[in-house]
Amino acid sequence: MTDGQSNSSPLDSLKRYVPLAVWAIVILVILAMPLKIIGYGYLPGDDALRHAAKAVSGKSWSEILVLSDVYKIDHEYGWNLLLERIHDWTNWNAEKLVIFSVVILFILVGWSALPWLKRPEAWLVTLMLATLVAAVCGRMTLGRPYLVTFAVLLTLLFLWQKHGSSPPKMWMLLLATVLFALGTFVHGVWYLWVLVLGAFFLAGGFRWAASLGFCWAVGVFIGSAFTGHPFEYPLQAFKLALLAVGAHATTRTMATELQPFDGNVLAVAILGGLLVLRRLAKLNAIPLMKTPAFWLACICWLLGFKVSRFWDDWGWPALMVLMTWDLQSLLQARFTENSFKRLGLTLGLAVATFLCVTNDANSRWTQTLSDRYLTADNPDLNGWLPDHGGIFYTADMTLFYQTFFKNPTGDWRYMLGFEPTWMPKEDFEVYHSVLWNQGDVKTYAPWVDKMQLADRLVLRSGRGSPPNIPQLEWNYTGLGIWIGRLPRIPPGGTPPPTIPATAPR
Amino acid sequence: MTEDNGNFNASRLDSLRRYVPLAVWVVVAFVVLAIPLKIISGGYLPGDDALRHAAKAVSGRPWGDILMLGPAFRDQNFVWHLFLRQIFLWSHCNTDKLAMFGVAGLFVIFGWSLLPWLKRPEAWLITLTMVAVTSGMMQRLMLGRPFLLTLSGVVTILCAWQFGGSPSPRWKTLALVTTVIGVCTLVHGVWYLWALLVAAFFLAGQFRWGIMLAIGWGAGAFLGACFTGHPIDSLCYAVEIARRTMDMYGNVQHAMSTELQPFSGDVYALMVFGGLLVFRCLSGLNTRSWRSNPAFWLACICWVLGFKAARFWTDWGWPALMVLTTCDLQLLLEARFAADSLRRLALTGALAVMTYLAITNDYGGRWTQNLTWSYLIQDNPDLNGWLPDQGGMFYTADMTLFFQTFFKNPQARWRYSVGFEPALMPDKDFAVYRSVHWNFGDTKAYQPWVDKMRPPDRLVIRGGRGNAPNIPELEWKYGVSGIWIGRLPRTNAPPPASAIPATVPR
Repeated sequence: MTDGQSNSSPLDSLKRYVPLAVWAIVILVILAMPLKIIGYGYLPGDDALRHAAKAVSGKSWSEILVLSDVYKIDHEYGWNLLLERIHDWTNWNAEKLVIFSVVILFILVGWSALPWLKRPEAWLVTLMLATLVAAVCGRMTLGRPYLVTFAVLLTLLFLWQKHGSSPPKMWMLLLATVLFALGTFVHGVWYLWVLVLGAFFLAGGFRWAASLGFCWAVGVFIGSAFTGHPFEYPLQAFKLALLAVGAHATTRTMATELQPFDGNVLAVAILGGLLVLRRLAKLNAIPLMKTPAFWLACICWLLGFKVSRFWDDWGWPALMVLMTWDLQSLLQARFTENSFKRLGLTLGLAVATFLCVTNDANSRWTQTLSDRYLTADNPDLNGWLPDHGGIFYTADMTLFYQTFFKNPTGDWRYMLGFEPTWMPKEDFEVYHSVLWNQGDVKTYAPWVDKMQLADRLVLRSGRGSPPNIPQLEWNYTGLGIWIGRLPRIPPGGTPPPTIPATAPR
Repeated sequence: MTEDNGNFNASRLDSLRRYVPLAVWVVVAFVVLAIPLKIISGGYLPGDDALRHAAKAVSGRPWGDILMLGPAFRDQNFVWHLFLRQIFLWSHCNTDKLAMFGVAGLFVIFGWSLLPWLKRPEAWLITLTMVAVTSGMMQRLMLGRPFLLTLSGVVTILCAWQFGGSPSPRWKTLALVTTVIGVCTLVHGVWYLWALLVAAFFLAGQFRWGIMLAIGWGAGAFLGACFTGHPIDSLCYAVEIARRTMDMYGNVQHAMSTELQPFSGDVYALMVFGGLLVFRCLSGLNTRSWRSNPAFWLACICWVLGFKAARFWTDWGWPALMVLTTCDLQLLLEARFAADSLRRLALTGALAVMTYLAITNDYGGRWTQNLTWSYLIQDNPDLNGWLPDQGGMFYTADMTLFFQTFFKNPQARWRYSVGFEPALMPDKDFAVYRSVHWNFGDTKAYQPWVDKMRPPDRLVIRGGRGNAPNIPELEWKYGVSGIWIGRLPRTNAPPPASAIPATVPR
């Protein structure tokens, strides 16, 4: 089935460079993709902005947000520390830090699969398919620390694919411990690794599961210890997770990624396609039932009906590992390692993957270019951003991300940050009520009642008329954003004291 | 492999068997004809270029009198307009009928283009149904635009290779290819994209065919261009306008027409590919390897290029995939049914019904949504004084307003700021158009147009009934549903008295 017949060709001496060329192409195309995307001017819309802004601000979250008592330690301690150090060292602004995050994390995930592969072009096919059916590469460009967990997961699953037939060796256990520690330190969600351990048990890899369980415990402890809070840090992470999914009456008011998914039928079709491929191509593949990646994909697909992140962040990487391994087997069966056809195929795949990931369909990479931000140096907003020590009230998380990103040193705090359930309870009730009532302005009343002169209430609404909250005076800032503040006392000094009328004698 | 050969010797129906192939042909040809007739009978009109082609034919004016154009412009669909104009002069039909003629005629040309090459035309019905249920291609095939002629040309050439039976092309094949490309160049204009087909033949290792096709392409494009009267200029202009169209938008892809934006990968088409692959493995048919098939390579190239502009895939990739699918299905049908089998006739009847229903059903209002469109028409007394005056300018950043208004007012004596391709506008006006789209229609972006408006001009914006667009320099009328028309304020007051300078005290 292979195609190495042209032994007498004068090009034969070049054949030995084919594997090297393939590696170079795959590495370069993975590097080129995020560079092309940020070349559009792309910025992600959520957490990457606040991570960068926090690094520039140099403040703790409690100085930036109005938080409940539960949140005491930065739950992504390692990532924020890294960005802070980079900022101190380079003096980059928030935008450059975001670009750095997007590029470096995309490359980290993109390259994490390569050391385990003999045919790295299989990974390009996987990236392309994952982007086509579930926009996975879109999620890889969010520049958020969960991508470290994503990369760690890929590494562990590929490690097993390559060496799973024998018991784990010492270097593998050391590697796993380091990776667990890194994941815990940077991202914090140490408890979700239990899914992976469960998958190893279900696949019948008991020795691997037990060994990884031990590495996990040690790694979590070490990762937490680096934060200076070896016990409080993991405990807080668990409490925060319970709050994030338990405080909402309906899923509608949750962050989108915490809502259930719709089953991602096309991903299921891919799994079916893999089965057909195994059968028709007669691949010598490990049975799915004995593969931890398969079980992890199954578990996370089911859990996706509770919270879609299970599928996005844990199920998809597992499915990608399965796909890559089978495709690698197919490519090994069809093309010799040093075949020019292999090189041609890799070039074609590189172009296709590059275009598939970087094309701007539906303006996915450029829609933020026309965003307008509330910035303190805009003269039109003079007096309309919160004063010193004020609070920026809003029920729209994008307003927090964008405003904090553009004003990292602003000396006010935000009522709503990146996770509403970590607000004080009474404020979360206001927020929940706003969302429950589809943004009805009446539901903002408790915030309006406690607003002080330094505070502002910021809402998204059309240019036509200001929000119907007459206690505040309003300014339209453009692109659908209104800022409300308590009416100012007219210039000319404080009003004279009211002297009661005297009774006639 | 056939399951019903000679099983019905005693049947009285046997004498009718010889008519089965003919009946199948008639059924297939008839259903391909009936589909567009059914769709236009419901009042369907496409939403874009077919309208302006029809209106252009009725107006009889050059584009320079209709649109505000940049320095260089040449009508790429010159022959299509000439053809429609002759039909108009002969029949005196209105724009509606001309558009319907375009829709039905071009669909039938495409639908029939494959039939002469097939032994089992019912395979084409299965392909059409599959395309209808997995993609939006049927709406595209009903657009009544001359690019459908190019689609037919692609299908014809691929079939000539697929079913021609000869590895080395003959002179008559070269003549066919030259004619097809010549006609397509003359009518549609985009001669340069045939390079894709040439490349596909070379990638498939069909070098003789590739060379023949390259010669036919060169000769056809030149001959087609000669008929426009400007053989070199028209070829250069086609390339120049394509380059300008792709370059001018920069990063604002959402300002581009949808068909020039990237597609999202068309996963269902990939599933069709995968399905064909599985089908080939399971059916045990003696199919030609994909690697030596130009249709496969054309589909692959165009799928990848679809990430740059969706039209590569829709106009070149899908036809190639349709040819691939039909060939495989034909092999299956040949293996399963004898040519004169009554079962074959029954199957064809069922497929005809299925195809007809799959395509003509009005799912999602796809064939009737235009019925509720409201047009700006000169004859509407409510709009008296609100459409541009003679010599005025119809300013808008919405191409659908151009298509619909020109369609309903082909003889009107005003011009449109944006027509069928924004990149044809003068640079300053294109900058305004781009700014409007960049700002998602924010009325402030219209300011340069508002500043240069004269009394005969109008600014037309889509918007809800609730509030007039926030451009206080103009007075506004809610013309028809969802459309606001703005003009400079009229005044009935006498002109101001001439200012007499104060005299110097004596």
